[in-house]
Formats: sequence, structure tokens, C-alpha cells
Amino acid sequence: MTRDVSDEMLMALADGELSAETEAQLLARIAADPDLARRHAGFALTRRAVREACPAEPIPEALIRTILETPAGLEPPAERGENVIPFRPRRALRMALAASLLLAVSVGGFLTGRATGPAPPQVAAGPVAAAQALAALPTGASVPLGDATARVLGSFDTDLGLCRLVALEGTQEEQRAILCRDGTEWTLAFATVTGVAGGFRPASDTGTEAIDHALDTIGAGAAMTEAEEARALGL
Amino acid sequence: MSDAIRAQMIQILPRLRSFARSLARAPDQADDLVQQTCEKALRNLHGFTPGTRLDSWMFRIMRNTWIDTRRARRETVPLADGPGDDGPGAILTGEDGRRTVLARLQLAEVRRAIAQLPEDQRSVLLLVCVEGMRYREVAGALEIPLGTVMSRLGRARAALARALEGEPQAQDMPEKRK
Repeated sequence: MTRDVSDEMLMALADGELSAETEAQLLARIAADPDLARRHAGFALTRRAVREACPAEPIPEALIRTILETPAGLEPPAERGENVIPFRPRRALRMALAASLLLAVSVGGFLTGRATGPAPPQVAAGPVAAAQALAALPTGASVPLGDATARVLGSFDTDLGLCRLVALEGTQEEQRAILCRDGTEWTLAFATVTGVAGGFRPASDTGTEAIDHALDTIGAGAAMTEAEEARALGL
Repeated sequence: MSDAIRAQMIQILPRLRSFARSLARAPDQADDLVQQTCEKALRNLHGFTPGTRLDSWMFRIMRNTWIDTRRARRETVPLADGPGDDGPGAILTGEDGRRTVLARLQLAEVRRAIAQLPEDQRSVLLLVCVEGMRYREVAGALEIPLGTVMSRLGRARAALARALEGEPQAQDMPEKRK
């Protein structure tokens, strides 16, 4: 007589899955039918038993912290790489890129509250002359340049070709510049003032960060080894 | 979008923990699994399609992570008795503060019965009975048909009912029957 009520129906009732109307009808039948009541009680009891056997525990703080602090990977690794390392630019693009980096020079100078000197062409004169003077010298070598000293800090294989990081240490201030070889010429790709001569220069200096960023932007990896550099310079 | 997802993740933490418990059983191992899953999910957030179920996506990550872990360690998981086994005869307090009809002895028996269930039945049982998820939600989260949710739940309950009947409340014989 009660077999037309399936176990599925009784289980759904115990789990609160039925509509209010169906639930009310079924509960009325259960109240009038001990056998149905016994079957339903079995489902209700197992639900309660499981709840009690697996009580909710407070969520460990470490889990919340993990969720709040793990950096989110919003882009697949391959695409992320493409964003950082541009495709190998052709000559016109290389110039445009170099120009945009030059803009960064003046902005960078502005942000650090220090003038990087006059307009870009004049700024370029010192480092470019330094790069020409250093063209046949390995990393670590230095040459005098006016009242300053120019020194090669490293050579890099980049999207702009061979580029070198050059330090210009004058009596007034210190500059860092990235210059890239274009045929027999050296083009200024980036320059920034890193400090006053003899002054304290913390590693997290804005200028230092800007250099790293500039190197990343042109796709520079680790500095060349001595042998690689000698080959690239045709020494 | 990542802040909204983090908030959602915190919201579904209870069901992530329940699912982890259905896989790992030992509570500390389960929480390690939840932790790894959250880290992986966040680091690979680009793999999540907005508008789809976050719990479903994270359950998949969790199951794969668990399979990897188990493969790497090749260990046997001891059947944990779970929290609060102070001894036979003690009475638990229910969530609404009332004393429950289930003696601790029986609860230990229920835990053992839950631990012995096949994993697919255990996960459905915990998500429905502990997390209070709707059948349809569980079907969506586990990516199985609604009918499968109900049949697994029915079989899991039948096994539990046998365990409960095998350990009558008033009896003074805590011998486990199988």
C-alpha cells in the first residue's frame, strides 16, 4: 500500500529536495502510515548521523591566507612571455622602441626628482660617445671621457641586437645607459641618472629598477660571458 | 577579477574541505590537499572560465592533485576516527545545541562506515549531508548526472544504515559487526 512511495522520494524528502507542496502531501501520508514513517526515519537518521560524525570545524587561518596571498596567474605562461619579450623588431620598430625608451629616460628623471640633463639628443651624446670609445673593449674596461669615466658593466644579446650597459661616472653625477649596436653605430636605448658622484646608492634605487625593466623590455637575458662578448664584438 | 574569485573561494572552502575529506580522510591531510588546490587554482586562474562553476573546476584540480600525491607516496591512509572520540558512551551536542540521540560509540561506527565507502559515494554523501548542497548542485559540481548523485547517495546511506543497526544504542557490546 505504501510501495508507490519510492525510496528516492523519501530520501529527497529527508534532504529537503522536494517542493513545499509535495513535501506537505508526503508528510501527511507518513503521519498516517507507520511503515512509511519507519522508512523515512532511516533516511533522516543517516543524514543526521553523517552531519554529527563530520562536524564543521573552524577553517584554519592558513587556508584563508593561502587564498588571499597566492599570486593569481591571470595569463597562461606562454602568452605572458610574449607580452614581456616582443617579437624581434625590424629596423623601423627598433628605432620606435628605442625612442619610447628614451621617453622613459626623461620620465624617469622627472620621477626621481632629478634632471637627466637637457633634451634627449644631448643626453645621448655622452653615452653614445662612451659606447664608441668602448666598442673594442670587454666588460669591466673603462675609458676617460671628458671629466668622467665610462665603464662597461655588461653586454647582452637582445631583441635590438647586441646591447651594452655602460656606466658614466662624472664629478657631478652618475649615469647608466643601455646602448645598442646598429651597424657600426651605437644607439642610445635607455639612460638614467643613478646617483650623485660618491653618494650612497641603494640597490633598490629607482634608476636601478628602471635599468632592469629596460633590459627586460628589450628581451635581454643574462649578461654575455667573456667569450660570447668577444665573439659579438669581433675581438 | 581575481579578488572576486578569492572571495568566492573562501565562500566555498567548507565544501572544498568536505570533498578533500572524502578523498584524503585524515583531517590534516585533507587540509593540506585544500591548500595545494587553492594554490594551484590561483596560479592557474587563466584556466578558469568565468561564468562556470568554481567548485567544479576546483574539485577537478583537487582530484588530480590527490591522485598525483597518492601516486607519489604510494601510501595507505589509516582510517581516522575523526575528532572528538573521548570514549564510549559520551553524548555529542548537536548543531542546534540539543543532545543528540547518537552515542559517540555509534558516531565512531558511522565514521568507520563512511571511511569504508567507495570514494565516489563518500563525496556525494558528504556534499549533501554535511555541506547541505542540493542534488542538482552536486551533479553540477562533480559533473555527473542527477540520477547518479541519487543512486550513489542511496547506496551510501544503505551502508550507513546497516552500520547503525549493527550497533544498537542500548547495547553494552561495542564489538564491531560487519
